[in-house]
Amino acid sequence: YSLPDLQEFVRASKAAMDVVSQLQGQFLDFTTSLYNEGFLDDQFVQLQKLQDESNPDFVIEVVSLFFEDSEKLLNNLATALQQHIVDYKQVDALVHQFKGSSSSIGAQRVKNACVAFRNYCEEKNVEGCVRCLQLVKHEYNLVKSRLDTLFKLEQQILAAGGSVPMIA
Amino acid sequence: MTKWWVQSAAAAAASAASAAAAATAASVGCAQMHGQELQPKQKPLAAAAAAAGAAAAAAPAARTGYNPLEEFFEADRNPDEDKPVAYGICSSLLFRVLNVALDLARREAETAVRARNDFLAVMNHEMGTPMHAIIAVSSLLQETELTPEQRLMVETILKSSNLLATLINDVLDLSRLEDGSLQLDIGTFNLHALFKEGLNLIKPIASVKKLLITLSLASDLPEYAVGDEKRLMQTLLNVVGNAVKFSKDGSISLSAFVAKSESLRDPRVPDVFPVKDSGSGINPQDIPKLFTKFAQGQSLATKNSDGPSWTCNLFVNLMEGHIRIESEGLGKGSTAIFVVKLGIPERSNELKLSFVPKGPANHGQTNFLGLKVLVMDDNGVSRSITNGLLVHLGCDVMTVSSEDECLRAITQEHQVVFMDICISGVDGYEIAVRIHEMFSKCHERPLIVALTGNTDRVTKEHCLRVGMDGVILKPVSVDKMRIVLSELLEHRVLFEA
Repeated sequence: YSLPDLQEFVRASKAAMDVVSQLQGQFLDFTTSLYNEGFLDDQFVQLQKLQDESNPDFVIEVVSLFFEDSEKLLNNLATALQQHIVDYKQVDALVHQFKGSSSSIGAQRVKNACVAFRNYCEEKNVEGCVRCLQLVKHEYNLVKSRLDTLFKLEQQILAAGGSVPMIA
Repeated sequence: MTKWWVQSAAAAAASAASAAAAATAASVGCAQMHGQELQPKQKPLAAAAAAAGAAAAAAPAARTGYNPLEEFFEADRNPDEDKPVAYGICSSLLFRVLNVALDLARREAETAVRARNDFLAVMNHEMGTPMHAIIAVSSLLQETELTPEQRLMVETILKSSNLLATLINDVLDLSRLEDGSLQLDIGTFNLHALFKEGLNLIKPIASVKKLLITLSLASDLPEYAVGDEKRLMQTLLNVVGNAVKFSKDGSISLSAFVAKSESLRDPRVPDVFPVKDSGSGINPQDIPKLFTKFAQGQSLATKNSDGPSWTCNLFVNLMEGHIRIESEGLGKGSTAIFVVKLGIPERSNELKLSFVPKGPANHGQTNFLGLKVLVMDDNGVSRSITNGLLVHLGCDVMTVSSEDECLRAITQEHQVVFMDICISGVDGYEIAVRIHEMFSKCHERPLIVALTGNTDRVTKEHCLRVGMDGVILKPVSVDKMRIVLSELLEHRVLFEA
């Protein structure tokens, strides 16, 4: 086994390891900020615990499902609130769904916005509802872009040959 | 009596002195027996020992009423004889002197060996540094524009330097072997991770050569093993490295599995690691030559340039295994197989896990394995999460999204039905009544559990009224679900406070 090959290995591995630890650091910092800023709560941690060798893409699958679902719900809500006579029961049912799904993946701020939304539904306050819809949409977009970034960081770490640190 | 004591004391002192002389004489005699003069250092030592012995002999006798040398006199005491028994003292003194001499010789020898090894290590470093420089620069030179003659010259330089570098390393290892300090560093390590790491180290070079490397670990390959992790890695890298080196294109597959042991009682398990390459292949006649030690006078040409290094072979032997290479001939690739014996760690606390351990699916609760469960939830996201959660705990899960589906799907085999009653606008309670009706004639009705975001008294009473067996507050963590399932199965009821 020749020395230049070995030296090349060592150099390449060291460089790779540096890249990996840098990415892992970024990942950890970013994740921490998500929890600190209330975008995610403990339920997201629980989701990650369900990911293992037999189910290696669980989190990204569930989150993708959440994104799909949410887009539909937001569209339906917009349509429902544009009706001449608003069917508050339907609006409430939609918001209830949204609250359920966001809470089950740990999207805390979205869930809280949904709770406020439901109050306006009960009061049959259309302006309140419209404002809430904007808020919910805004929070949803914020968490979506952050989750996309999180997954990208994970992919980068894996591509660099490292492993994604788990939050204990 | 006193007279006797005084007499013996005097005699003892006298004999001690003569014993000392005798001891010194004896050690001189011993030394001379081995053909050496008593070393100058040893003379005062012997004398000192003798003097100490004498002092020790004399001192107790000075104390009234107590004489530890009594025992020497006891058996042989003959009041008529005034010749004391001095051989006892003499032999113990002699032993002490000889021990000191031996100890000294041993320490000198150890120092000599250490000195030699230090010398070799220093020389290794001193020789290695310029060697590495030669190799590095020659490699760089190879990458430049060269005439064919120049290229040949550079290749010669490189080949020779590589051989020399290997030789330097082998000499160092050889010396370590001779003084027995080449020992395996045994510890518990993650076997799966070792292979993955090894693969990651090889990948850069393999990808440059456009070689595909695959790794397959047998399912019965234990995750943790006891052995010398570093040396196993070295061996692995060496063998795989050779495969990479001699393959121009194609693929290399590395697999690891547990070999069947002749003796089932043998707690240490031989692991087999075949490395197949699609390289240039080896002439079968050359194979036996690949492993013989350089010390046996192999010619440099066939020495170790084509096969696993000598040290690698040595490590494998230390791990009570062996390496062999099989090839179907030139052009057909070859398979290097190395077998090592590793230990299996006991389920012990000394496992050092440097990462967050991912709980296995049935952490402590194997009675959930195959538990048939039905989940009813009309929210897709929450349904797939509850599904993932129960699957993670080992259950056999079916999911439905509506009451009708639930009633169609439910059977006697289902042990638990989880229903999400956060469903707005749907009376999730009605279904519990229907389930009771369905199973009124059977003894084995599935347990019905409500998952709800609200466990106030009203909700709970309602659940009880419709015949639910349990109510759980969402969100449910993995640990909570585990507890819930065991409570349910044990007590057949669970109402969360």
